Amino acid sequence: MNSERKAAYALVAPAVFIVAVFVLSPIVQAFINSLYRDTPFSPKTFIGLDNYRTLFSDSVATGTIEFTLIFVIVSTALEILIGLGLALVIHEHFKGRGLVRAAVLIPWAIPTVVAGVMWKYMLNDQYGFVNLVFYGSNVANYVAWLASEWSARMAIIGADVWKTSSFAALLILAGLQSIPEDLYEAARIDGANAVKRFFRITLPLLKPAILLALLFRMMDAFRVFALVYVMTQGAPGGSTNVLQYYGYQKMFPEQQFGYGSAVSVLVFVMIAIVATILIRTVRTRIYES
Amino acid sequence: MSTLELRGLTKRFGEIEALNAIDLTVDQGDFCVLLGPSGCGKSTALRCIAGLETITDGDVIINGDRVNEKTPKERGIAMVFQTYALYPHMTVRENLAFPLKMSKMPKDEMEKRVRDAASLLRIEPMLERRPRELSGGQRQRVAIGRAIVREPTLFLFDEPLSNLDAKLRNDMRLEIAALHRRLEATVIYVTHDQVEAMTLGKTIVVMNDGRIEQVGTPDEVYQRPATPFVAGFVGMPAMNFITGEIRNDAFEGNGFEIPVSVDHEGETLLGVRPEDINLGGDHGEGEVEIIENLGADRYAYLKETDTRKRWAVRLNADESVDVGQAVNLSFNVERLHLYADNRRLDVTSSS
Repeated sequence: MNSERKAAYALVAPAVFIVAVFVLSPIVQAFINSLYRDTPFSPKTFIGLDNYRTLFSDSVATGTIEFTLIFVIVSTALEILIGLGLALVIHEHFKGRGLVRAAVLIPWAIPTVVAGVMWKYMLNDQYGFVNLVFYGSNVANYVAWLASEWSARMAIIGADVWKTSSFAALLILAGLQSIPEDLYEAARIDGANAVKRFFRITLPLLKPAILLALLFRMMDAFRVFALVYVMTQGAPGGSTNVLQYYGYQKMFPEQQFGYGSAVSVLVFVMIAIVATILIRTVRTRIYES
Repeated sequence: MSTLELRGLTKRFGEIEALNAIDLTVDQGDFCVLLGPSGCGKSTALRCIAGLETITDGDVIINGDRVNEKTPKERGIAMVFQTYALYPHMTVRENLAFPLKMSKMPKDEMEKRVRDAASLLRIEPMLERRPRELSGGQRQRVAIGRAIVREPTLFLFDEPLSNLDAKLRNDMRLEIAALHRRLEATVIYVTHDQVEAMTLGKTIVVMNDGRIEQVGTPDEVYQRPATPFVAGFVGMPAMNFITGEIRNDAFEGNGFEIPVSVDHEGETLLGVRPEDINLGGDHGEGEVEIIENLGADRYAYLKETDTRKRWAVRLNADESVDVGQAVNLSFNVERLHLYADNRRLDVTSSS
């Protein structure tokens, strides 16, 4: 080994050590735990993949997986679409653009817990702003939005979209700014109207940025916790429960450490699969351009 | 028939007047070069013709139609950009076909035109590649190809050779000239490079500060520059100037007197090109500071000892001087340029 290689290994070693101790070992430990029945009331016993069998057969657990997937797909899709729209707006030159840019970023800057509490208040069945908007002083008609399955699911997704669309917008804006103005002028001369310029120039050239935004948002969406914890705690009837919150319930309030670990491992595997696919696509895209 | 006519074309960006009432007529088949320093308004003029900028005042007339409010597409023009502006996500073939696709041309016709343009520009082997896989010269060809396929009435070139290295620039210059002859197209070509302007242009429009200084053939612009600006801008090294006065049919300045016959008395600017100065004589003197040997030509740069005035002089083949040497100069008095009030004075006879 020559001295340059030695130096390189020495420089990388601290990072490798930190990742190994704080990232890799917990993952491995969680996987090992997930193979045991481990509660305070009985001795720790090896049960193989039993926890995973429960996870995929228990109706509460499958309902949780279902809503987690709905949440990831719907919220990410909406965030990318709205983020694209916002990015296109704040990319244009107009008076007060700085103000609009700042306004767009405010929801993203608010802590998730605070945002959750705020939305919970707005959706309150007695003094919520949303009821005021829909029904005014007609208090008898006020709806308990967070108490029925679909409106509660929409509320959680809506709050997440409200809060993080601006993050997608930020990433897409960076992509927009990397497209040279010349291309639009050439396209105008070539006879492409605004719609065609968008679909034939802007959108294809934004692909890398959109994929990147998709990657970040999907990974985050799988790990949603705070909004659910604050707004519904999985209610009504577990219809807004998500894997991260479900795992937390099993792990801590119910002290089923083995089963809770299995939930964590499932979240990890799901994110790993999605991330691997997206990172591969992003990488080839970036190499291409 | 004139292909392009500008009438009082004016463009303001807020307070800044980029173009000040430009009048210009360009004939069918002309190769018209807009030449000027950066910021003179030549690119703005081109963009106004293209329809990429709205105009503040005046008219743009293409083939007899006033096109002020028309979109770039409706003007029947094609443009080649300095940065080529090729679509990076499309192959060369798709780039060439893009303007045709936008005009909903039938597929057969489209393919034929793309093929013809590709063979004309010798880019057939690259049709399936993307712009980033091409060299600068090849990209330039594709950009020109994308302009050709539409068979426009007017080609607009915005400093198309600025991003190429010197050797390639020469080659492409010749190709553009050949292409113009072959297509018999009308071209408006913007450049700050006087070599490009002199070699390519049938007509040169010299611009400065949002105005046209002179319109003429390359010869006219070089031999009879209409204003001191044109005289100083066109020619490498630049023309030498002496301020002086005309009294009693003689120019006086810099300690000498040259008889001239012009219809003017008073303050006058005299210009003389480096090739019209000979060693020996009494029109000037100086110490040689630098000698530039360009192979075919050699130039000596002199500084006068007392006035610190600088001279650029082209040396004849048999003349030889050394750095530090003091020399005297004389002018070829047949070829002097006289200006007063920013206007060329016609020399009727001299010496």
